[in-house]
Amino acid sequence: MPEIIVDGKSYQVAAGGNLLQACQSLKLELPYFCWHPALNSVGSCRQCAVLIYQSEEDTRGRISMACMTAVADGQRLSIKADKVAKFRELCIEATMTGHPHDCPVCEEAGECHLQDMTLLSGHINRRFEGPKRTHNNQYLGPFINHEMNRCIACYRCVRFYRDYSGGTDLNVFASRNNVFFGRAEAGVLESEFSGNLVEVCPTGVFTDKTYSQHYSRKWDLQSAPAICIHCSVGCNIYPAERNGILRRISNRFHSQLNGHFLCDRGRFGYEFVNHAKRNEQVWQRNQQSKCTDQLDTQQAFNRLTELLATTDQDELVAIGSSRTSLENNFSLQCLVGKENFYSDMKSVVQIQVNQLLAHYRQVQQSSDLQSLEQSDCLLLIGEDVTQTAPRVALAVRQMSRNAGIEKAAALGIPYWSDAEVKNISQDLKSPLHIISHCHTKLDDIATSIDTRHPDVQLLLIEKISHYLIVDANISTQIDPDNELDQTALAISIDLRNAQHPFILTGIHLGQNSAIFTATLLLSAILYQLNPAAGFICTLPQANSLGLSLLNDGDCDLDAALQRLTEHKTKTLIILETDLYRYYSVEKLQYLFDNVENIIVLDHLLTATAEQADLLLPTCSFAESHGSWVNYEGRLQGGIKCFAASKQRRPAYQWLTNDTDFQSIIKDLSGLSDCLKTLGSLYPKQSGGFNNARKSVRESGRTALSSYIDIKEIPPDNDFDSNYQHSSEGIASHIDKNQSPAYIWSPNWNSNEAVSHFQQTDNGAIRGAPQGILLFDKTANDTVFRVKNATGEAPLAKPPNVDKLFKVLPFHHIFNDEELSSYVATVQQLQPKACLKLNSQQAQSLGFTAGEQLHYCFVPAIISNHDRFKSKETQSLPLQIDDGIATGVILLPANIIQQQGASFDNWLLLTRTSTRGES
Amino acid sequence: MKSQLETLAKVLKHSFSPADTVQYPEQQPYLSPRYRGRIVLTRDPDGEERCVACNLCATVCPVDCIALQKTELADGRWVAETFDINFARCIMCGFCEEACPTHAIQLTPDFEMAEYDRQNLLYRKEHLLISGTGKYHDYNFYQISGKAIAGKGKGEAQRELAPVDIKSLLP
Repeated sequence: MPEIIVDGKSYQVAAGGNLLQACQSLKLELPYFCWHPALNSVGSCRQCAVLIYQSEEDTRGRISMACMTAVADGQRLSIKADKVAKFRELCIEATMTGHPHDCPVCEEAGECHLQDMTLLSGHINRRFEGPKRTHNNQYLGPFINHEMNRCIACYRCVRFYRDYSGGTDLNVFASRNNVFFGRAEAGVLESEFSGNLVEVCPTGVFTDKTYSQHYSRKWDLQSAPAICIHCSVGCNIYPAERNGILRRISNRFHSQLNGHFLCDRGRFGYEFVNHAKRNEQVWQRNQQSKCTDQLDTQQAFNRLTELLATTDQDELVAIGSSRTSLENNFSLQCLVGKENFYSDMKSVVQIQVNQLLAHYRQVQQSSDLQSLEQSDCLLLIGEDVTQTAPRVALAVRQMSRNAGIEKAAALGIPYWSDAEVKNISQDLKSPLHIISHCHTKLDDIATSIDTRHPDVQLLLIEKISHYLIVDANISTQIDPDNELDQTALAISIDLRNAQHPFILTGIHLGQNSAIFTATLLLSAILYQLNPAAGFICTLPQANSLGLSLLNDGDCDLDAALQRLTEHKTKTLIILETDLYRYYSVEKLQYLFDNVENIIVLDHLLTATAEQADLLLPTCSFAESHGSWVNYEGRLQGGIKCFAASKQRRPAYQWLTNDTDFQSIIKDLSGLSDCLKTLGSLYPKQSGGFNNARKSVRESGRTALSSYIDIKEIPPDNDFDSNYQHSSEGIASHIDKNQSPAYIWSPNWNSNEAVSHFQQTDNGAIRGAPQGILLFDKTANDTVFRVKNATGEAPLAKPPNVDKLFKVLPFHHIFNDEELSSYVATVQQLQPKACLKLNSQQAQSLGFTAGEQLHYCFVPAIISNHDRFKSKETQSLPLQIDDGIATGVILLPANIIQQQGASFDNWLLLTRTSTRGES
Repeated sequence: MKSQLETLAKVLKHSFSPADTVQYPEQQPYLSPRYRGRIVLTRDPDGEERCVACNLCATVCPVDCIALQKTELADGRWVAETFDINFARCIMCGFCEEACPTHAIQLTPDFEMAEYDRQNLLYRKEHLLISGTGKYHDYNFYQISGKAIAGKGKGEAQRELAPVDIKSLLP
């Protein structure tokens, strides 16, 4: 470890980094703008100037930028020397000459890196009396507000947007101090990661528009460490609340998962918590008076007990939820018994999830995103991760830059010298092979893209596996004219040559299950070949894996519906699931009519909740504690951010007659060996001081609720964790043993303060649990048993298959996830539903783009196709997409989920709804 | 003996000095314009609300008796949707006035705020907002701020250049 001497004190620092990184890890206060822990150094803002001395005798020193100077053993430098302090002050004074007099009306003020750095540099008085340059703003969509006057031209935004996340529509225009950061034309930002501009921008050029709708200064917000529930990655977030309204979501650093960045669905999809359709009261359907009665909490508990007591075990069915916490599902399962508990996954998905679990247990564990970022070859099969689990796609982009970084390293250029690395790497990218049924947003960095028919792709994957098993020198024996063989060979050679090859796939409804099985096999072969090989498989929802761990293999949603059809059911309990997303209205109406009591627990008034005979209002992720199992089997605990209003209470409390959270955790951790340490995610309330969820600067404590009563209302108590709903208690920056409730450190008001919470440079947050890896080789899960599932036998194709299209789904970041699609701003960005065909097929059938076409799903089991009546015919406009294979038609994933058959989907296209033939 | 007589003389002398007692409320004391009494929210010279809901007054308040919520008008101005001061808690320290970047919140020479019902000591925005400029007559925040509002576009505030033409290639 090199030793550096800063202002006469010597420190041990990590080798290979730069001086700014070293100062950051030592928590020394050195200002900076253009440097970012994930974006590295370009040395343009001149803020991190330090004085470097040649030797012990050197008393003059020379000014050098810390971010551009490599750490060397025995280096002497000064941060505090007058000369360099004056230099920094003059630099920031020049930067500030054009900055507007805006702070009172700026959303960034109070957590502004520019404010912090200006104060840190000592510039407090404006001397410049000349005029300020101004810019016109642009409309950038419903999420991001643009206020270009505030720009200090650090270039972080374009470096993040273009270089890091691969966006193309944000750029820098004009020259010298007129530079303008925005789009060529006003319009919605196209990147799925645009929300990160809010945190990347050191000042208020890009601010969160949704936060501004119900704005509150950072110091007034109450927050707690939580887990994002919008996809299976389980990014760490800080929800922030004031006065009962969830105000915003910001990033919570997790070194192995989300790092510094979130996707837009995670950041802006939170408004369902404040939604007008949220449930706050217990409602009971009154058949006599044809209306709904409101029950008080005790009546509700009594009614629930009464309904369950009068129902026989075999007349009781419960459906769990993959969008709610493990505790809620566990409580429901305990209440109704294992045999009556069903998951909310259709059987085809459940089978694949079980296959995946078997793979994790017996073959290979999954990997985190940090190791994906460090991989040097990736094969992506069948999943459009940019739309289904966007944070993974961002990691894929970092992986593709590794070849360039390696090339630069060979020339002696360190990885952190961003401009140099970029210059050296040019178009050099690490190999990324994509096998997918449609073009995706990752195509621009892909080495090869295969969008052939799924049947061909299956063959391709099998061939890749084959070439991995047999000797690589087989190339001479391969027919040079066979394109498929050539592709397979090229991919297998890349996978073989890589040090850390990765397979990335996913589970979603409507995908070809044979391809998924083949992918698992391929990954297993690769893993046998190279133990450093990684594997990532995304899942449909935040807790899909958690629910599958609790649930037994056969108890999927299709099985639940079959039981409802075949056996008399008196009581049906539905936990936080909207069944109308999975089945058509007609089908469910018939089933619901046959059930005497439908009990729904949900925090939103979903279509299913409207059918309830007893509706119990539950809590969203921000209002209750809960554990989530992400795609890799990482069990993470989310701490409740604020107390639930009115009659809302966590589902586990409704289902366990008000048992406290710690007891449920205790029961749950007894379930399996790998859950033994579950309690460590939720530290119990300690006798003395607890941690504060609010900052010490919180304002308005004696006035906020005085319109209700001028006597102050005491804050809610949280007996389940050692966080308090108050600013009283240990502040996060002081307690080193506890996951911080918010990121703030003296002099560092912005999220950049995160470096003061990290143990090492860009390392984990001190005190924050990294999650429990359930499939750790050392852990032994004895109770969690899943049948060793194999892929189902390939189904017979329907007759007259030449007239039918194979249906595959296409996803959209704002379309597919249930909770975020309740949010008005997200809805604005949902694309119009359409059918997608390639132009050749459209031409041969005489269809033109934009034409409204009728379609109906043809179940594969229908034997007599000619007599098939298209009773569920619907229509959608046609869109031409030449990336689609012939014989394949793409439909929005949510439509397939709702209307499609469970296994293999075939589609009949017609011009008019009356005729059955095309 | 001597000191006792002196004391008696002193007391006697006071019988002839004018009384200090003020016949309040018939007789009103002089309060300087800088007196720190009842808090008001003022308007700018154009008659628009000065408060931009920046929250600094609430933050600096040592007894946390100010609570407000920001909202935005159609013309782009930030204003307070609600502005509550709990005068049951206020100690008239004047920190809020010092912190206010727009001269919106000001303390006035009025202290007669006693109430029979404590709830009436909560002053909401409609009770606080006056129609004048208060002590500071000329200050108009939005004429200095870079934020555009209806009627004052980019580059039209004091000491601002016209917006940059980003398509220009001139040096």
